[in-house]
Amino acid sequence: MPDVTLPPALIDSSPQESAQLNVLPIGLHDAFFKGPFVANNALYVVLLTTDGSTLVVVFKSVDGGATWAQQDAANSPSYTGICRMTARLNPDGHTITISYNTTSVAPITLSWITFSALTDTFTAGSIPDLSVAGLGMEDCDWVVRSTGLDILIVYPLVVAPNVSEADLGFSVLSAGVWSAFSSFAAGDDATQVGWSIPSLLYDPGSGITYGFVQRQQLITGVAFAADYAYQITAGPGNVPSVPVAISPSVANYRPSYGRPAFWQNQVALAAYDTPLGANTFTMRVYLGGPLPAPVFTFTDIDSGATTNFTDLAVGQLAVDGTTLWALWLNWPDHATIQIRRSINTGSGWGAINLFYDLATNPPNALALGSQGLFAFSAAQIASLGVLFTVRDAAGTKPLAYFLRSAAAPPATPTTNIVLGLKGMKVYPQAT
Amino acid sequence: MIIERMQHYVFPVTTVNPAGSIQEGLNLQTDDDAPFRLYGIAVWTNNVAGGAFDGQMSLRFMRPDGRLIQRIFTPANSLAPGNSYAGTPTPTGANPNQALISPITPNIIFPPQSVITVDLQTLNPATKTPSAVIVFVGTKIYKPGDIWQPTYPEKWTARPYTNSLIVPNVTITSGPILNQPFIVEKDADFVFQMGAYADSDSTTGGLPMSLADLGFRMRDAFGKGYSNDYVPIALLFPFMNAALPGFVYPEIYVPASQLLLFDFKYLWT
Repeated sequence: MPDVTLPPALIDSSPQESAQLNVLPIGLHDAFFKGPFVANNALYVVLLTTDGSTLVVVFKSVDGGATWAQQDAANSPSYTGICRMTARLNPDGHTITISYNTTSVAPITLSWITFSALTDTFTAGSIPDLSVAGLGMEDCDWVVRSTGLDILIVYPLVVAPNVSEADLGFSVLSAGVWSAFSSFAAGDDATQVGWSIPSLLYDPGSGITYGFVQRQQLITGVAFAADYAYQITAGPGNVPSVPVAISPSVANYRPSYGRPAFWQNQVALAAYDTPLGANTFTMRVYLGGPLPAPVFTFTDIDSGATTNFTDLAVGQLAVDGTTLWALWLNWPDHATIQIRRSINTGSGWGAINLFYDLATNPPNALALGSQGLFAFSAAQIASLGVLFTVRDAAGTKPLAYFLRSAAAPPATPTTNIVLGLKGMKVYPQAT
Repeated sequence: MIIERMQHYVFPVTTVNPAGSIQEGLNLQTDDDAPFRLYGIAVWTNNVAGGAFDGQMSLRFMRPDGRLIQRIFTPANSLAPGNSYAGTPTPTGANPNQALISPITPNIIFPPQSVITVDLQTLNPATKTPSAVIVFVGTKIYKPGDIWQPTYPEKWTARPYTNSLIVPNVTITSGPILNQPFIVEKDADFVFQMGAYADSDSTTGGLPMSLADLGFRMRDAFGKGYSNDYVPIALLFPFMNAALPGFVYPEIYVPASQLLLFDFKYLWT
């Protein structure tokens, strides 16, 4: 019996047909997270329109994901080309910061906009564009370390004298100005070592940013060896440390990983890798603790999962109170399209269970062979919800749906109130 | 030389009676620390069910010597022409949600630990309790030295300034939200003279004024209250489209880095 038995909710039923798009090169993880975010007692997702327009759009649900409504449509920004849009909820808990491409060839320009869950409106112009000469920001990740004031972005960039292998570097937005790319881990053309796909996690309590990055090495012309490394940066303004390989690291063909998460004073990381020439993968979860100096161990939760669409992020983590959920895709053929799960309450990983079965609970009437589950991300919420993308009923476009593990109770109206206290400031003067 | 301090004596009408019924001799006791100078009265009725004039009443009340202020029952809306309700059935935010104060001139002095006696006649019963909140608006009168009351320095300059207190996730059904601090910035003292209100509602996509019947209590940094119970927010903090702000009388002088504490609770059960 799958955890999810409720029908998936179509998020955008308008002609613009928004979706969660992850148009990623092979092997890239799901760095481009779009929600669901929980803010102001509502759910928010950030999507891209797919039909007739190229807009970054925000949808909101106040009934636990059953119905969705677009917010501030008039001010949705436009992206350009293949968009690596990502979004994060700021440490203030109600501002969603969104980055998106406004150029699709080098130099890459990343534009920014914020969305307030208090007013359900976009605000443009508060964060300046960031542009670099190369293509590095296609693989960027960033964290907002204080609302609107301090953003750390980490991205690989090929820096002379290299012509093919990327350094790993960062820029910081401080006082409204982006710093130039600053390398902290060098790539090397001669040994064919380069860095890619950083993924960051910010702890507002300690001010520490934890990060993972992939180090790749071309060995035989076709196969990559790679490992995961982590770096730590201290509070705002401090530079990232040199990446240190986590132990044990992964060395396989096409490894990748999902977004990290905090859980029980640990950093959790979902990793998966696909052997060369195979379409099976191992769902693996690293746990590093205690913070702030994590030591990592890993558990292979499922070595029998299969995907025939290896471009996408197939494993994700979600934290539900004190429980860590691992969710991953199992898609061996066109008759089986599933999300599996295992949970960890602190005493190890439980049995593998079916979380969602698209065959028995399809989102639309399209023949199963034409369906597909092309991206999913899990909410870090107490009532687990999953954003995912499948084909539309015509089989031609991706559409974003929301999965709920249980029907949400009726929403309790909540209000943010503002009292204005008018008067005057009184300044003493010398007598 | 006297010191006056803003005081609201709140009298919730905790019963729901049939139309036409009369309750006499309802007593509200004043505090024992100071006399009370009554200069106005306001009535906020329970219109939450959306009916016409739900909770409406006529009332009369007595001076401390037992003599009535009015001979006959006076409809609350004639007495206090406020209650410009901004919630259902009126579209939220369409009205200013303002309770106006009916002046009482000359003012009436109630001694410490005296009673304000009220008689009520129900005109249209409310569906929930309390069916209305009557607020006796005035000041407490102290001798200098009897109370902590900061005031202006000997020589000063001033500039107009609007401060704000933001309280997220206030719900109708949850219990009171207590001890929300309004902290004055450290660069200057702040004189609180007028109040206004705005809100955004999570379920209606940001439509304003969804908590028309919110109540508040305000206390100084030492916890001494400016009211005996929850005051309708509409009295001191009308919605932002009100023609006038709510006036704080006497103004409240808060030194730099000091604070006021606010409690919030929905008025009706």
